[in-house]
Amino acid sequence: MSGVPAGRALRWLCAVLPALLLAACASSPATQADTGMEGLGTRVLQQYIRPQTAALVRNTQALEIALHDYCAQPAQAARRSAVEARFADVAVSWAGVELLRFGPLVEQNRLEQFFFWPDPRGVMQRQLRSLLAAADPAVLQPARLREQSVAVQGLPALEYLLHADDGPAQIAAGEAAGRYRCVFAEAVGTNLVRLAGEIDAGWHAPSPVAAEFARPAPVNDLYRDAGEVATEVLKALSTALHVARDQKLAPALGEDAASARGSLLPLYRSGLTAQFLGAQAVALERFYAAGSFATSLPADSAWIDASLRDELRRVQQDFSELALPADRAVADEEARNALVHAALLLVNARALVDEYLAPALGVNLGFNALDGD
Amino acid sequence: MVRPRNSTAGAALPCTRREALRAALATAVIAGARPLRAGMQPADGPGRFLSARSHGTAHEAVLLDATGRDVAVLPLPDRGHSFAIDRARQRAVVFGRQPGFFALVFDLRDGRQLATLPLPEGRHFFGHGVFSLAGDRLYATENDFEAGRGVIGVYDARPGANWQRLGEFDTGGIGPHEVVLLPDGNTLCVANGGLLTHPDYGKATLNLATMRSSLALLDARDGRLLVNRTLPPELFQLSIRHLALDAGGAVWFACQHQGPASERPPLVGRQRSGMELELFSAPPAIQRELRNYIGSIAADPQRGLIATSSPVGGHIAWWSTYDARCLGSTPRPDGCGVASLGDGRFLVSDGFGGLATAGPADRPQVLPATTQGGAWDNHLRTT
Repeated sequence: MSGVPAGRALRWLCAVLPALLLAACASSPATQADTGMEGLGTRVLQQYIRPQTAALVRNTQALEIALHDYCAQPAQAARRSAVEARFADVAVSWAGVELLRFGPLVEQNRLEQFFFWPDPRGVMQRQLRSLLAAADPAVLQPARLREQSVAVQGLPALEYLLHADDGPAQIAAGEAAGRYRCVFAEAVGTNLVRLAGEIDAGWHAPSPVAAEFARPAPVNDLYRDAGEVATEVLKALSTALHVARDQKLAPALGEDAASARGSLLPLYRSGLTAQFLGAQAVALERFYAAGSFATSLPADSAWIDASLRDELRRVQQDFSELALPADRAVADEEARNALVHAALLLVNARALVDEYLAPALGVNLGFNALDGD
Repeated sequence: MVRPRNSTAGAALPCTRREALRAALATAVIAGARPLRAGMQPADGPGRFLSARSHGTAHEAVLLDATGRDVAVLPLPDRGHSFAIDRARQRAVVFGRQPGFFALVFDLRDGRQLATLPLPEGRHFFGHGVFSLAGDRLYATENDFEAGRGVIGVYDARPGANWQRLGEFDTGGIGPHEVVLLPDGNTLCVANGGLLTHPDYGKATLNLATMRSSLALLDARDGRLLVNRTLPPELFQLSIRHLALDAGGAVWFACQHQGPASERPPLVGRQRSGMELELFSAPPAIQRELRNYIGSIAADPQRGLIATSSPVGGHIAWWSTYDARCLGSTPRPDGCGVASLGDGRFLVSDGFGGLATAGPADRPQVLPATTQGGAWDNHLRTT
């Protein structure tokens, strides 16, 4: 934890003046953060959160329409292509929303409903196959589908329906099984529209989370000062960097090309992995930029801003220059280097946030608090 | 001193990490305890504590006295979590933090490593364990991670038995975190946290939408599931994780809420023999300070006190075991480890390497720093 003069000084103060501990330590992050981060919640809400959730609403709606058209004439290649293009749009906009692991996304298990992943035990595939075999149309009623397991109602389930088990040919053939599969896909599309709408609504009035996030105040329940908002934002940034590396990349990369498992990558069935992970790095950079943290950093910590942005851009570059589809690249001696490199950059980026950015801003993420057990 | 290289830094990936740990344990089995530093006096007798500590990527188990001074330090191959203590034979086991792939037996007098527990393939430690009253068995919470099933690993702790793993008990739930032995000596109480995890994904919860926590009682002799009590359905995302016993033998449990921050469920509960689980909330201001997360719980049975720490909220909340009332709270930034000092005060450790004493009737007194740059991990245990 080098470069933490404010935190160190405060701890020393607590050590020599225990009587002050009650007041000083209890409000430490807030006092530090209040000075430079007023309006942080409003900035992040207006410049990042709302544009991202609005895009997710638009893109899920477009996907729902494309799915409807496709199921009406499943043999038409253009309609299939339209579905795949709209699916990719949703994946990219989901990358921007997924990192907001607080507020409406984590209420009512919306995150798991939209994107049940990781799934090392293959729950989605098992449950989906069982539902496909039963072919009960009643299950696909919106109210019924949302009551089903979270594993069968989100984007990974839709990807499975569209791409796995010879799905495209089955749907194109228009027989009973293919028709049911397509109607199932339509139902999932409708569910995604519903979820995106709820997430978006949760970040607008009259949602108390949105109001408190934008205007922290002592009377609030969730966010009482700018320091608490800053902690939430930096925690989300840190967590997203952790998820990006430790969950999305590392398990698939394994220790070498021989032990790599491309099927552990998100959205590998649709071939969208690299695009999705690249979009996530873009989203992280935008999320960070919306906070305008650079203006709050003391002069001797200004390097953190440039370093973090640079790391995230290099991650984007690694994904955009990938020579093979990601699920094949992990098992290729040459191509996997870019992904190993991206994983390293993500580790560095997280260390920058946890060990340098947060302390420089007076935000105490905490060794135990950030990663408890 | 042999300090196995930690493999979580840099390019190492989880699969590598697990194997690197096994390799480190195989090749550096007897990592020596660090001798006392100059000026340190061995403080025999009561008033010693155990905790895990990290310095960046270096990890250790620390035996310390009540003034916060290191008595002995045992290097660990990865981050440690909690301990099982056999007072009669003056030995203890430190468990790796979940997903933990090591558990080391060491001498409580000098920190010397005595053995390594033989963890089978397909299992990892959750970080807690307990000895039988006679000290001839060791019970550890473990994950049968391919099946997603919680188990108690049973190890032969008799002298000369070489810590052979005798078998395992089904805990009746997922993600057993802490296990304690009830005063009857025959019953294990297990906190099934309800969180499905897989070591490939670290501590990520894979069943957030369907999780269900429970408190199970098992017969320590044969693993029979005696009782398995769950929380009410509306509290399905409340994870029971840590346990402490009061003077009457009731089990106090501390929870972590996995649901949204806008919810404020009770985080402290009690199980008395033959009764349903009881849950207790602090007054709203203190409940908020706990931020839906309790990292550690400790009892002072003689004085009827319970300490519950929230590193997330930076506060310790105090409770009375007599009337289950919250007695107040004390701020302690990133404070997590709590252990009774036996006089109504508790030793409290934090993630900044600090130690303090505090209690419901005592202002926190910060102990002189004995380490620089270290971070105390979640738990402090009284030896």
